[in-house]
Amino acid sequence: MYMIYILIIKFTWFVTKIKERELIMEWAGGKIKDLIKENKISIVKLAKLTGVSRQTVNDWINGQAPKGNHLIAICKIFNINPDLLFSNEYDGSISVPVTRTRRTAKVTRALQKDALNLAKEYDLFFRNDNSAGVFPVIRGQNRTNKTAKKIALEIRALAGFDKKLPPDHEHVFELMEKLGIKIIFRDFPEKIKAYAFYTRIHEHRVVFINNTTNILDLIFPLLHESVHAVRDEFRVNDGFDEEEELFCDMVANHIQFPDEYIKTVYSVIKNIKTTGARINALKEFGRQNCHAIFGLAKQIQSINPDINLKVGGADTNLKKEFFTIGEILFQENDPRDYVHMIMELSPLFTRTLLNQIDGITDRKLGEIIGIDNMLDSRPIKDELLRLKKAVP
Amino acid sequence: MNILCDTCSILMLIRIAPNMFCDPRYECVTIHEVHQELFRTQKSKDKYPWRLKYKSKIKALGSSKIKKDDRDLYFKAIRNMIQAGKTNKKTGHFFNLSYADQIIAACSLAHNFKLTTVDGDLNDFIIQEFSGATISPLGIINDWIKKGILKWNDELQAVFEDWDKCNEAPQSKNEIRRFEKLSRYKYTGP
Repeated sequence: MYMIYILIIKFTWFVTKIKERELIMEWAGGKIKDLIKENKISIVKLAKLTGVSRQTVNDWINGQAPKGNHLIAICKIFNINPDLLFSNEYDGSISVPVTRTRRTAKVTRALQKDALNLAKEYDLFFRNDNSAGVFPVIRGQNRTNKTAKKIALEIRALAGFDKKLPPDHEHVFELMEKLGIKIIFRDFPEKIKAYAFYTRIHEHRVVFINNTTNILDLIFPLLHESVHAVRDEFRVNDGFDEEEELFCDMVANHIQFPDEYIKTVYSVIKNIKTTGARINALKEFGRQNCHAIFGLAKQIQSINPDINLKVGGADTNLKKEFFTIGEILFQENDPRDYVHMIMELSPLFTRTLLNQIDGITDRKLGEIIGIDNMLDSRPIKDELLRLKKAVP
Repeated sequence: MNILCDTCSILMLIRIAPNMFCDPRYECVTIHEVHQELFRTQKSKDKYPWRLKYKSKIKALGSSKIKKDDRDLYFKAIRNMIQAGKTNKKTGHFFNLSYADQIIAACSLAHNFKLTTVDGDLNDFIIQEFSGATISPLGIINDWIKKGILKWNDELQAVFEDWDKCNEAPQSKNEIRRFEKLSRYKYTGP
């Protein structure tokens, strides 16, 4: 096992080349040649009808996308739908490799498709940002518990977590920043039954978080998604890999509950006589250290299977004491507070947003930050512009 | 030529000319998507609390007046162009327009309407890709004054101060000069 840092960003000229290639791949100019043949006209005639030179038509055929008014003219001349002139080939620049679902929800094709569609909404946003950054990568040789523990230790060290305590949600957000992960808060469509999911969009590591997720429910999935990111496993489309999922779970468990913490909790629990009192003690640990107790109870039972710890109801009650991430983001219903909150929780995403804020329309901003019906995006844009001026 | 008014422009202009959509001399139209944005969402609720007073005055083009075939053709062309990645030559970034932005652009182009919007990227897209016509809110006011359908006064002048308070988009120097010449008032807005 080893840790390496991969320099994802290439030289500017190289990035530019890639963009051009993507543009050519999607505009299917060769189809104009077929249309000219089918309609028995010449390139010269098409040039005349569209008011351009013969060379320009040749450029279109060879892959140069036409201006909008010429595109309309071509469609009208051949009486075709513009969709015919663009190829819909998927180029693999966006992937949702795996998804950790909510409770017992299954990973379905519909879920994967919706997650991919959500990620695709950010295609241009991340294409507009050349600075994907330098990411730490950890590779393990196998998927054993021993490897999981080693990776967890490395990640904990990288994040600077307290050796004896579980991380709270703010610690996890800090870890994600160190891993180069851009966090996007959204209200997930119903079919995406997940608290969060990891994607790669044009080399950017991105984690989408469902705003309705309770922060206690959020910590473990975020650790799980962070493990995906740091392992840099890249699967295209619906490449769901159950073994990888279980391995990421294992690592996430070790990150969240270090051995010393489990020992401390167990040493307290084992001396308590009644089940109710044990569960109350577990709840107190959860309350103090910001974690759900289901996972911890499982760990305790793996040490001593005779200990009865049915924590379902207690876990639910404990979560009621904590906010959802959406409630935290929108607590003041004030654009300034919202901007400062996303800056704090998702600094890398906010930086990308600041880089592009001058050119983003108000509506697109609303879509990007998923606040369409919560707050007006105009004052948020004003605040982002103000910040951009203040922090060059 | 009619002017298709986007949400922000309507919020800037409706108090100056409440009849802008009722009296054909103003040559202003808007569409259902913009109307919805103004009244059916929570947007703008706090910033423009007075907007509900004008609800009956803001009428969207009826579906019979929309050239659906042309609008759909433009919309599909725009959607494909955006997805393929068209670069804004001014900013160097890819145009990144929302669904509603694309509908508004398609409508204005299909009907040959001038577009008034304060969103730079949308403006740039219309001009760069379609050589389309756009006009700023102050440009519209100037045209109204010039045509004699609007007389500038102190009450209307106060709206400019509100534009400033609401952090509306800055208006061009040319239009500001033109306004001061036509109205004989000093421009006090953004």
